[in-house]
Amino acid sequence: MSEQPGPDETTLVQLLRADLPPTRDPLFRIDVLKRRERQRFRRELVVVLTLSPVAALRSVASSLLARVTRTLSRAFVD
Amino acid sequence: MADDDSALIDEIRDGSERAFNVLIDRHQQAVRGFLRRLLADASEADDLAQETFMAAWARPESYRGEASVRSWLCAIAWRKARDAQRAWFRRRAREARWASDVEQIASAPSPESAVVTRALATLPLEQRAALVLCLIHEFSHAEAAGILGAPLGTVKSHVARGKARLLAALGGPV
Repeated sequence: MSEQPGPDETTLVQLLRADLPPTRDPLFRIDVLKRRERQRFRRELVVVLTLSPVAALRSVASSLLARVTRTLSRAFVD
Repeated sequence: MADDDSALIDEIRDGSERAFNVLIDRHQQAVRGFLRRLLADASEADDLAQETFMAAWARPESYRGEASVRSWLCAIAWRKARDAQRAWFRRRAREARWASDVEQIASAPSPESAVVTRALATLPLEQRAALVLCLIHEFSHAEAAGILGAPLGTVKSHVARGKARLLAALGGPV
């Protein structure tokens, strides 16, 4: 603060500080960490759920492509 | 502490869990205390305080070393509180809910404290924020201006007017 508090202001500041959260609160820290882990899990889940169909499609497409290639090469050989 | 804090942010940039834990332990009281005085609901304030620390973990590069780490955290908290209040006003019929919330936060440790809490809740959000930062958390007017993104003169005026209103509510000089 830039000014010296008068007696009334001192009382005011004391009243305003009366119900501050505790200086140390491990439970709050644990809550933050839990929430961060949940968020990380959700993000990873979204990535997995997005990539799984892509991987499945890719696998189907590559097997189809292999079959077409085999058919064509057989046709050419015959 | 300030140099220590900058070092902590450097460690958090490198993904240090230990540094993040220390950051929370060191600044949770200031961030939560600030938000609890801004918002009517203590659980909503703590919720935003958690989001503030998660934002600090996700984007430590947004700390550029121009102000203290505590100022940086309070600035994140301020933006979240302001957005939350805007959303809240959009959602609800403001007067009825606000009045009931004021009653809720007035569950203070003493009658005088309840008077101050009620008077504080009637101040406009930015004025309340300036007052809380300067009176409770001992930020300078310039630091509070940086946190709130407001001109220095506006912050000085907010603090002076807010203080006068609270003192008047307490029955002291205006």
